[in-house]
Amino acid sequence: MNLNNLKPAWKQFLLFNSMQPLDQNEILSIIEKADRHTKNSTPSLMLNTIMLIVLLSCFQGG
Amino acid sequence: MEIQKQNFIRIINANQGIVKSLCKAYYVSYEDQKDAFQDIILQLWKSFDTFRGESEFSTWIYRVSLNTLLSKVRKERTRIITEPLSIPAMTSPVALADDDRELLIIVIRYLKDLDKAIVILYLEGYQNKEISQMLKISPSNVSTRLNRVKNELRAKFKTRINEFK
Repeated sequence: MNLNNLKPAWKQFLLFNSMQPLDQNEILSIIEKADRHTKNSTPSLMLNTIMLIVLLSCFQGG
Repeated sequence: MEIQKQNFIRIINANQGIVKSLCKAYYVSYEDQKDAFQDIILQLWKSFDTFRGESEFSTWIYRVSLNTLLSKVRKERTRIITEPLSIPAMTSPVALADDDRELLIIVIRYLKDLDKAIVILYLEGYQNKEISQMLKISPSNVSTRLNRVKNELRAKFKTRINEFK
């Protein structure tokens, strides 16, 4: 099969799918959820790191 | 709204056809397509900071979207591996395809996940070397898979090809 023959069909498919209006609020809610998750996970990551350092120093000292 | 978010939405808006088409190529149901769309947007947003503008926005979107889809499909396959596979009937694709766009969808749905990604990038006009960089596989693997796909499709869609010529 000559795949090149499908190139115009792919362009047409792309064009068809780009015509529907994009819901900007949906995009915003996705990226804001991701931002919130990053903000929430930073303090717990720091806490875990500090606990690991304390534990490591205790075991090395003992 | 922050400028970065505005820029991101503008870029996604201009390239939404790519993301939606890829979701439709990998998923049949609307719900699955929507889920995949959200995952892709999330990954694009996460990597937006690191995008240095060395390539076109469309290339970046293709790379992130296809890698997200391939990883998602792989995870889902592992999860449902115990369930019986339902393979769609592909015995008479010619009868189903009324036009080239319909044939394209049938061809795309017929392909395996990685082959599908390669064919889509090929249809988009990327060279084998670029495809290999985007999908993190060797150029020889790309060329081998493309040749195999062409042969498979040639055998499968024999009747329709004669109409192409």
